[in-house]
Amino acid sequence: MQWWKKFPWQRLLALLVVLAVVMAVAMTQVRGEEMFVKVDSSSPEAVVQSSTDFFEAEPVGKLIPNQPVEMLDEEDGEYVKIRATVDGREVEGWVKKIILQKKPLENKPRVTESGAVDSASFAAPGFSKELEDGMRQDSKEMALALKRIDEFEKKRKELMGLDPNEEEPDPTPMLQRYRDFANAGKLK
Amino acid sequence: MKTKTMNFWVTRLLFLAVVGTLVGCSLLNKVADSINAIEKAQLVDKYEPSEQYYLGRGVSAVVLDKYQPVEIKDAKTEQQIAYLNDMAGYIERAAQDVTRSAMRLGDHTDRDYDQQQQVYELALYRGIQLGILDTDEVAAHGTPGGFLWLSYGIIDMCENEDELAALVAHEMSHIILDHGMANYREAYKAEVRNSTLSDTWFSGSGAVANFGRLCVTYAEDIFNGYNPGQEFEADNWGARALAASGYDPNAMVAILQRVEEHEKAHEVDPEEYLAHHPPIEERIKTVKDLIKEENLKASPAASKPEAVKARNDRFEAAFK
Repeated sequence: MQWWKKFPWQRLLALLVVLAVVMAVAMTQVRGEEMFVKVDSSSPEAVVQSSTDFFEAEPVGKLIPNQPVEMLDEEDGEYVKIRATVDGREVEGWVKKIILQKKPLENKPRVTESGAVDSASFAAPGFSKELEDGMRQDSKEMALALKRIDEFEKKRKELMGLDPNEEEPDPTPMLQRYRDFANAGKLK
Repeated sequence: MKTKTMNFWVTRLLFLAVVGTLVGCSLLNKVADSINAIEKAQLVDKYEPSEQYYLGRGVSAVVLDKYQPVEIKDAKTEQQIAYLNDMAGYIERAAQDVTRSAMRLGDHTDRDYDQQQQVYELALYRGIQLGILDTDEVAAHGTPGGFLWLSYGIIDMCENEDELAALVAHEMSHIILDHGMANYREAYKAEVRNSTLSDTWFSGSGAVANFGRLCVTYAEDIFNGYNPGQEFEADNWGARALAASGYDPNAMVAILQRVEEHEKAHEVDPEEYLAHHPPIEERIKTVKDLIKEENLKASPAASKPEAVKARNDRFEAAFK
């Protein structure tokens, strides 16, 4: 009789199934919960830090709205450790838990796991730039006042070391300014 | 064989068309629901951070229609804006662990579970942005989305950097603790309301006009100030934030005493910002008790005379 007829295929199959289940459970344990970024990339909170110590932390990457991140099983105060893809590379670091949510934002384009923006998924409901532009056309008082806000925001960006012509400039220089402010005032 | 292959592809295409239609309809429904809510002038309970930011811009626009903003045109005004924004940004970062729980904040407010969740989940889309109102009137207005407007009148009440930090921490907490939005939701649960000013600015109907009305009437509400519980809570969070960022928490007592002096020296107009605050003596006592009970202190390094001098020199360079 050939050996393959005697071979305990059913047992092997059962073993493989058990192994697959164990591996699936193990993978779930290792892979953290997927969360989505809910702040703008120009917010200081969008910067992923190397540690939770404000004075010692180094920036390790910058997140964008709706970016999926993997929340790892480590927390320190309001901070949580995450893993994300930034500029094509995988980074690990700390962000405030408050900037993450379980579902993607509805009024921002989705972002793929590799960090690419999927513009086709943009739904744009709710309060948005489009609605604001409509207000400018409807009310000359509002148009004038919003122009003041535009001028203020642009000048503030420039003074805080950000690119005033960028809609969503890199906020990293602001974090260094905050540290310099605290050090100069000997607040630490 | 050929017919079989064709059937296979036709079935696949039909399946994809059905799935595509379902997904498309669901997306369109979501968009339509959201726009309909604004068109019908209904208030949506929960705004995403970017929506709060655009609402904040609209509300700030109304604030800047009432008060002229400082024109940032020379070295002095540039220094003032940079200084205030550095301070606010630093305090916000340093105060990361200061609790947002109503229980720990002296239980001054009466939030339900949903309101408390709003506070826990509130994130500022582009961080805190602080501007100056060019008026001697005592005024401070925070909007959703992180805009904070302080008048020269209120800044002039501060005698040193720690007092200015106390003022900034107090006003910032109204934003962080969702006070303005909570009041608006509570007062106008179902619908965006009308007012003389909002009707003048936006006479039409539809989503744009209703968003405009929401911005205008929200601003009118913040001109009326916060409720007493929220003021106590802001004093509480502010004092804790001062200690967390190295400042002397007693600066919160000091700035409240300046307010007390101001109230004694001037007859406070019932329309003025300060007229809507709770009795100042009670606030001072509550903050003193908190500092004692929680043993809130400045950082040892920040208490040294050279550190105090370094802070006061830059404060005077900016504002005196």
